[in-house]
Amino acid sequence: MNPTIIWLLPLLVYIYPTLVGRALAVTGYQFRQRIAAERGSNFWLTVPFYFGLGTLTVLALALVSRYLIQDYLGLPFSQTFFPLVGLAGIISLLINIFRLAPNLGKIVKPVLAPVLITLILAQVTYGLWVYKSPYSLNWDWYQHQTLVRLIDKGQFSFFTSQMSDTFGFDSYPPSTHLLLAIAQYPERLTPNFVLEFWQALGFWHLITVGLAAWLLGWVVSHDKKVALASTIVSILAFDSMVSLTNFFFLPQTLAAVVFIAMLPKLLLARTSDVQAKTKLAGWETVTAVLSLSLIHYLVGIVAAVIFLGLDLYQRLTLRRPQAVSQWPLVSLAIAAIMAAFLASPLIKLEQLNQGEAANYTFSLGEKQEYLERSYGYLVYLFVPLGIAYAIIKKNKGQLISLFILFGLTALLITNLPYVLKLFALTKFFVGLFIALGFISLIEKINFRFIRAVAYAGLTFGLTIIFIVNIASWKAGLLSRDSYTHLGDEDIKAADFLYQTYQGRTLLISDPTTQFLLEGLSGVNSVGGAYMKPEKRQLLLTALDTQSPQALVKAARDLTDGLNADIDTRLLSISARTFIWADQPDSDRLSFKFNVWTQADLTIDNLKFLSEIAQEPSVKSVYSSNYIHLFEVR
Amino acid sequence: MNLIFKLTKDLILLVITLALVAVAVIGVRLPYRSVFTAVGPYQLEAFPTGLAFFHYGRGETPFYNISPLNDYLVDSDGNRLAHLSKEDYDAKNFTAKFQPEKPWGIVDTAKAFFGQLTPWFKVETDDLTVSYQTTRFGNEVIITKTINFKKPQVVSAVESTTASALTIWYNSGDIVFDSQTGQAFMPVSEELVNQINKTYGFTVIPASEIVSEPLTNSGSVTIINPKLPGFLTIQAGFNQEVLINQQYHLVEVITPVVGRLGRLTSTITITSNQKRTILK
Repeated sequence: MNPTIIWLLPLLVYIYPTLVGRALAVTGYQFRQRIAAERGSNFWLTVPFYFGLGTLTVLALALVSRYLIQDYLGLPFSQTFFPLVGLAGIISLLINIFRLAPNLGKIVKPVLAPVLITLILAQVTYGLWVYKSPYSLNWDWYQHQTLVRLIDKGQFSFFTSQMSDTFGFDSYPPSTHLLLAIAQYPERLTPNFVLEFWQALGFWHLITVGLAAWLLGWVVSHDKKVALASTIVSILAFDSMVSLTNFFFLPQTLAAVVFIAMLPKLLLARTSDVQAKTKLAGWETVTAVLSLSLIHYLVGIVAAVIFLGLDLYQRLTLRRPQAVSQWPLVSLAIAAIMAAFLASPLIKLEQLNQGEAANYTFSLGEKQEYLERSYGYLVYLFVPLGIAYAIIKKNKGQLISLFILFGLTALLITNLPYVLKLFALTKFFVGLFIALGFISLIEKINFRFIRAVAYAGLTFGLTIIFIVNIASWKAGLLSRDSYTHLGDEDIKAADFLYQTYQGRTLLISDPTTQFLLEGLSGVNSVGGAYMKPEKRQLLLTALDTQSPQALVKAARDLTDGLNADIDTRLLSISARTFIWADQPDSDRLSFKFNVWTQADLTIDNLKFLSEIAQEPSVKSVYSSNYIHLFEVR
Repeated sequence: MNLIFKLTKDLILLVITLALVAVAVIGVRLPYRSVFTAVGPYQLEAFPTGLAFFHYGRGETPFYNISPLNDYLVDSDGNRLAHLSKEDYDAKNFTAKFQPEKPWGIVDTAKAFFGQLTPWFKVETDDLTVSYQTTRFGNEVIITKTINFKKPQVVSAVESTTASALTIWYNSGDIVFDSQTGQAFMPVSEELVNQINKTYGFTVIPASEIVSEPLTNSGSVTIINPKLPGFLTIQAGFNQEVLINQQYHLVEVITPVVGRLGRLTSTITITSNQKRTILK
């Protein structure tokens, strides 16, 4: 496929559900009023809800295809889901064409500048990010692509843990993966295609991060200067630990961006007077809550709770404006920070997801370090200024944002596992208050040129922080002269697997090798990077003895927990396998540890591999400086 | 007047804003690794005792160290004087600089990220300063060692210096051989000879026994470790000779000292590769 088309293809992840969602919203009862309500900025504020509604529709189509049509009528999932999606897409497109928003020109004009600025800023930032990194550095994409491939093959379930043994824990239903499957359908999912697709998706995701920050900044201030500063901070300040919002398209980061994009309409709807045209409809509240919750269970549900809570608060203050003041809420939030910090040690959740949760529990000192890696001292210097500015201005939108910032901070400072994932939401409010702090300083500057210099200074400073931050982040990924998880030999081996083995093949290797090869080629593995400890131990015992016979036996004994229908067993031994086996048990049995970069085989490794090849029940099918593949009979 | 007042006010606000941004930038955490670079399959990085070639991410594996603890000067009586003696090292009578430090370390980190800065190591004792600078060209790195004598009496003391040695510390289990002839300086099993030939393209001729201090004929030595991928080739300059110190596991590149200066410079080239390049 043409590289430009592959580069544009990920846009379908956003466009398809938005078209479907809008088609549904402007069809049926009171559709004229709904179209009329799209006037002016209201259109763009409603787009995230269309996206949410479309996502829910796609999920509903998948559930119907899987649990009604497949289970009761016997029609395979892929033979119903994709035609239904195609039909829904065509109908939606027609509805959208025939029911265009009024004054489309007026709708498009105001967003041209933000889109253009975000595009330029994202282009430069992404250019720096991918410097010497030819492939996406989003480690999780391999497992997400595994789900996408399974959907493509018709193996859908609401529970990810029932689709692939790479998922030992249901953190989300495969809503995001359905959108990805639609965007990739019906392309042949070769390793090169998926590599280019995910690299491009990272870029478009960064643009959505920038646009969401712009929308939030603009809505809470009605000031383009704040929106611009908020966008600059959100794009350049990379939360390089756990949440990884900027460059990594993941269910958690998608949920965060969708929430931030939905929030402005809620803020605007209720902070304006009762007659405001930007009223939040009931379907929008329901869509927000359901779609966020069904994109990611942690980040999405926290976002949904905030959304619902604010909606209720807004409705209450609308009816009785004097009944609720902001100050008790802010005080409550501060109290919540203290209470959360004190109570969190009492809650033991480290054993979640087979002990993986313990790796996602960080001390306050570590969190401070991550903050300084991403922002330098910007948070300490500018956020207090921003908070003071919001309090002095008594702007309701800003005070609500402050309340959310405090509430999320309360959660973040606890030592509960996975809470750092919530920084995907928090980063937008941190960015907003840095922007407000910055604006509080330059607001009184009269000369535009001097103001522009201040913006340039902020952008330059953030760019330096960003470069140092990514230099730290990539420090462990240097392989030859590239910062990458993958090497050419990984891709060649994956291509060989893709072309030669599909269907009932089981790939057996160390967690990292099988994780990468499964995502790239689609050949099923024994749990990928989340290979269960007992299975790891089985393989390690054989590797430790350096006995080819023991290794072949282990390859015969290892199974996929979900799929027993196997006719070919492929033992894959790479340089990563030996490196993994050489580590202490605390690493090689842990989900946290991976061999992050490609390495080459040593003389000792090659000697052992030649011994394996001589085993009578083994057939060598592929070899390179990096990896050898054996069919085990 | 009003315009000047406005301009002054604006400039003050600008300076305050930019100053705060600058302070914020200084707050950024520097990477946990010092400056590093890829040299073929190996990586080169500075550590508290010197520069090292190693394989990152493999855990505890053999490495190759270039250190003032091993480097030495030779006086006219043939005595070896280490740049940094073990006693001074143990007593911490030295200062070493090998990683970026704020505030300029921020610029160094950015330069290193874009490949504009390679690892360096500098050690300072009461008597001398020894600095190691590196320059990388693809799979090849040139290491330049400069010794500055700090006191006149020290310069006088080394008046009799005849040679300066730049050394690479290797590991037990390594196969060290002349790059051109393939003559090894230690016995090597036939199986390993075959594996080296098959993997890297070198024809190694094993020694019948460990030779104590052999000199290479070609001025080029290759080191291979069966537990590490790739190999390192050390290439001496035209006026240098290469000595293999089997006792201390050192490849010593000896540069004769000509003239009497307060500063000595010596250079070596180290190449790291995965397959032998045969020049035709």
